Amino acid sequence: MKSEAERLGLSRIISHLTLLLLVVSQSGSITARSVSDSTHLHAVYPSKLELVLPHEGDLQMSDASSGNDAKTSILITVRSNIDWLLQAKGNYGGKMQKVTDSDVLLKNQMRVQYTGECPSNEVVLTNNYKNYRRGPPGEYQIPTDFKQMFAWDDQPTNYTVRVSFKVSPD
Amino acid sequence: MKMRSILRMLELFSFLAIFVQASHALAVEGVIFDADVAPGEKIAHEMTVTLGESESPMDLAVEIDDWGQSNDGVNMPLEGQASPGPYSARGFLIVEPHRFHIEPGGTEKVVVEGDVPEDVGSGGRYALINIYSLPGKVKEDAENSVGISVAVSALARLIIAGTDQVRRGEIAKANLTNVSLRHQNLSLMFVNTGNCHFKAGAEVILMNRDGNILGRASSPLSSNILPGARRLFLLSMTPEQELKPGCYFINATMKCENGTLLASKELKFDL
Repeated sequence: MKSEAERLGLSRIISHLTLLLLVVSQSGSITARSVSDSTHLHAVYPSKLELVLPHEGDLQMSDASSGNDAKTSILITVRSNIDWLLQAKGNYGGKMQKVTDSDVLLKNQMRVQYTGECPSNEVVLTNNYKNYRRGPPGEYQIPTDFKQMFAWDDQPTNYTVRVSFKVSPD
Repeated sequence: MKMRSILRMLELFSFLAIFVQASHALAVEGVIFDADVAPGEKIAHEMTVTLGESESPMDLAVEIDDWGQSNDGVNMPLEGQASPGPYSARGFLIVEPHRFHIEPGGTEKVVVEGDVPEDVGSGGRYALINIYSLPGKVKEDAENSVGISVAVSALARLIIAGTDQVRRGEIAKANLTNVSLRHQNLSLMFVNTGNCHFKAGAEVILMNRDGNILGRASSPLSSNILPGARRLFLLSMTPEQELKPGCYFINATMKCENGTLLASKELKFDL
């Protein structure tokens, strides 16, 4: 009986060790992988960038009224083991043609702003990426307000706006 | 008893190991492709794209672009009409796959490969690899919604082995601003006129007409500057003692990360 208990214990130990090894192996490290027999193989560098953003379509603009900001708040997370730069750009679409304030381009009215401990100035977004934040290696939570000012005679329906974030080595 | 303790310890470790696993969204491993390559060599680099478990499925595209840099050192694709110059690696690199679909929790290998031309020349060759999500279809009930797109840029920095790596530059512009008896600001526009990338730093010395040193300032080491790229360095100088009206000189030098002198410039100003 005793030896069977030991055997059971041993199997549990092996099971846990296997699980540990599996988890450790999934946590990422320098790994050389074969790409093709005919190519010179370079080691895969451990440099890593990770960008965590809200789910597509989960965000709703609120408080939109003509001449005022519509706003939504998002939390961006950057994880990186190298210096990084986060950039943002904005586009709009859908039925925004109902907007009648022709003096101001809507794309120039899209802004992002860091709202964390030391809030920063707003970054105006255009169709080209603009620098938003940068930092050294580590994990960063970046609470952000995304705002757009609308102006209309007839309230637009079914409009969509898109904000794009890009992280790159700095 | 001993066996039970070991089991408890292992159970605890297993639980902790699962618990501390980083939650993933869009992650790319291998975002810097640094390599010494030889003319005629076949090269390859693999990146791993991972989508988090709780994410929505995503369609992604991958592009290789000519790599440009802004004056503040931001890496970005060269604009449409801009000439890529002789240091672009885009012409001999390809990426596979160009487009792919990734499910939550999934991974995809993206391989950048190419044949280095026999006549590739000397110095460094560079390219940007952009991985970005394609816009999803707008849902019918997605009224007044905000779409989010994500992108990750990766860098290819290839040094042609066995060739001269020329590290040199020039200070194309030097401007003094906010000059007062107590304070002087200096902006330096540095241009990498060499044939490879390097990091650089600026040092300035304030002297009077007799050559006595009255103040110093230096910048942190920059990020890598590509050949042909310009980089703006801003320095602020506060002399130990307030200056008196007179004629002064500022000697600005740019040095490479290994201490090599890259460029220097002298400015004269009157107070």
